Amino acid sequence: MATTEGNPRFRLTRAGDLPARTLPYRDPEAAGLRSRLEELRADPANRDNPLLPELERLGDAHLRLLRRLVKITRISDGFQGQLKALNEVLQQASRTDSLTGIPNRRAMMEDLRAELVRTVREGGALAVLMADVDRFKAVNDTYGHETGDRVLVTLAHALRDALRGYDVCARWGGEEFLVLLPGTCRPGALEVAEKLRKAASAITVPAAGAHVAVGLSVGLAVLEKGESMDSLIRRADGAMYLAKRQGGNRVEG
Amino acid sequence: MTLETLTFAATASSPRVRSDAEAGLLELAGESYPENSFEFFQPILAWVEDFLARDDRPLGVELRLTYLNTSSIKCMMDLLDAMEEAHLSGRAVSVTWFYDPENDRALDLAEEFREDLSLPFRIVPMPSEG
Repeated sequence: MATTEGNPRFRLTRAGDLPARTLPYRDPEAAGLRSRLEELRADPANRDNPLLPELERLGDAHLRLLRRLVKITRISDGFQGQLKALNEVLQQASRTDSLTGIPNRRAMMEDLRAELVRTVREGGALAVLMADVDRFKAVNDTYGHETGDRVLVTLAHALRDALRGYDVCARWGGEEFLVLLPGTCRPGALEVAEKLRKAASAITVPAAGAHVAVGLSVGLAVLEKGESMDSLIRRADGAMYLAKRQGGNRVEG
Repeated sequence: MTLETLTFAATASSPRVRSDAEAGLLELAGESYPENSFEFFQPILAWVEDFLARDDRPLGVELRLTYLNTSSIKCMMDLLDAMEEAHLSGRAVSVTWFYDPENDRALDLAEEFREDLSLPFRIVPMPSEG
C-alpha cells in the first residue's frame, strides 16, 4: 500500500497501519468508503482522475483524526483514573483518625446514623459505649504528649482487637472513644463494655523508665424506642461521667 | 519588534505560564481544567507560532502538568504538533516533560504524549520538594 505523500509528519496512512489498540470502535461507513476508494484506484480508467489523490488525502486526514481522537480519549481516561484513585485515598482518609488509624468521628456519625435507620426499620437492638481514658491529662503532664499519643494508639488497637467483627470503635474526641454495637441488647453490651475495660487495663506503655497504665471509664446506652442518635450518644456520655464520678475504670449505664 | 512575554499566574483551574523570548523558553506548570481551554491556550499557541515564525533560535518547552482535562489535552497536542512541525523543518526545538514519580500513572501519560513525535522529548521525574 502506498504511503502518504502529502504531510510527512504523519506516518499513518491506512487502517492496517494503525495499531489495533488505537481503534477500539467501529466505523463501518468509513471502512466501506475506503475499500470503494481502493477499487476506484485499481481501475485503469481512473488513472488520471484528479479527484482520487484528493480523496486519498481526505481519507488519510480522517484516519489521523480518528487516531488523535483515540489518543486524547486514552490520555483523558488516564487522568480520570488518577483522579478516581486520589478520590478513594481522600475518601478513606476523611473517615480515618490520623493518629490511631481507627475510624474518626465523621465515620462513626455516618455508621451510627445508618445503623440506627436499619435498626428502626428491621427491629432489633442497638447499643453504644462511650469510653474515656481516666486521668489522661496526668499522663500527658507527667510523660509528655508523645507518650500520651502512644497510649491512645495502643489503646485504640487494643479496643479494636477486643471487639467482635461487626462492632465499630471510633476515636470520638481527644481521649474519648465511641463504640457501636449493632444487634446488641443490654446484657451483651455490658459484656463487651467489661471486656474493653479489661483490655484497656491490660496495656502498658513504656515511658521514661516507667510503664504507663490507664483505666477506662465506660458509659453504656441501649437504643430506646423512637430515640434519636443525639439522645443515645448523650445518654452514653452521661453514663460515662457517672463511671468517672464513681472513681473511674468501671462500666455504668 | 520583540515578542510579547506571557506571564499567567496559576489559578485553581489553570497552570502557571511563563514565556521568555530572550531565552527561547516556554514553561507551563500546574493543573489545567479551565472553563474554556481553547481560549486559555490560544495565546500560548500563538506565542509559540510567532516565536517559530520570527527567527531561527532554539525553543525549549518545559511542562510540569499534573492534571489536564480533555480539551486541555487537545490543546497541548496542538502545541506539540506545532513544535513537531518546526522540528521536521529543521528547527532546534525540544520538550521536557516533568512528571511526579510518586504517581505511578504519570509516566505512562507522559509517554502517551510523546508517542508519534520525533522531536527531542525528555521525560524526567520532578524533584520532590521536601
